[in-house]
Amino acid sequence: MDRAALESAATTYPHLRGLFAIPAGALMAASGAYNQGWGPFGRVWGFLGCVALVALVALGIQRYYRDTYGSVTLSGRAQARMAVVVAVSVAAFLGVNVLLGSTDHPISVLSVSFGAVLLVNYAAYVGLRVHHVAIAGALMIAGLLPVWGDADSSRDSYALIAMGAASAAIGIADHRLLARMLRPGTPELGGGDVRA
Amino acid sequence: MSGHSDELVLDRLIHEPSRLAILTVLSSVQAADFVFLQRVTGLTNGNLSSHLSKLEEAGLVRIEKRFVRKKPNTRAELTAEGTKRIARHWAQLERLRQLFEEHVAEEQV
Repeated sequence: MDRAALESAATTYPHLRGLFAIPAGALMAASGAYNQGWGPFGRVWGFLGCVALVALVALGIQRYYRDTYGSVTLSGRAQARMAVVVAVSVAAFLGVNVLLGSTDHPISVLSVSFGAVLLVNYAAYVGLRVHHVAIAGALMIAGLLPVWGDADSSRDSYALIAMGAASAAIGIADHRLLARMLRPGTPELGGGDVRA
Repeated sequence: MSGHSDELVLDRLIHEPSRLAILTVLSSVQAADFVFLQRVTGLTNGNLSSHLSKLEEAGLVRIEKRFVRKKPNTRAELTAEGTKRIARHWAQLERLRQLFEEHVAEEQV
């Protein structure tokens, strides 16, 4: 029995329910497609239908996690810490994009700042894993490449699609991590010697 | 025996591995439900129920039974006494480990 693994399983579980990132990522990508007027997403009703579908999928995912892995309520201190990290991240993200988002440099401030927000949040909640650094890092590097065009172009739409894809990819990897961590009979959690 | 060993009496109710795992998980969150505790500890329904009942009888955990979407849901959280005793138990285990390491180091000298 490993004390740290037991505690970590409980405190990281709410943040590793990565399947939620798939509808969230799909919504970001649909927003990008809507901005560009692509296919059915380019129409208001198509986009609203996508939002409704995403909400339904999210409800199904919530039920799946509750029935399969159960639920935990984080401590008041952890919840307060989470609220502070989210508030600071949102403020920094909006601030950076308002100040720098309309520059004429051919980079994507949206992608870079979103990648940074992902890294900060994962570092604060679950500790950075290889897939967090690889995917969010790749998004940031891609955002810094001078290929996004000027402020009047569709760079934010493409950035939203890239952000959605990155979110979904991280979510799938997080879910796989969670499934391994809470696999029935996981020796580091249930049995063996007591380790502080 | 020395004063050390008098102070280092381990709480037998808590030291049982399954109950120690349950209390350790609950000490890191506000509350957890039965399904999550079962996932983390790997215990069967019957064993987990039995351990939770013993911990509840000892006043270490509080159990709340409710219905979520017409399904029964059992939620457990530590009492103030449970919080104190699990923290003290881990501190005792840590002291034991340190004493053991000191003993081994002395023997090697």
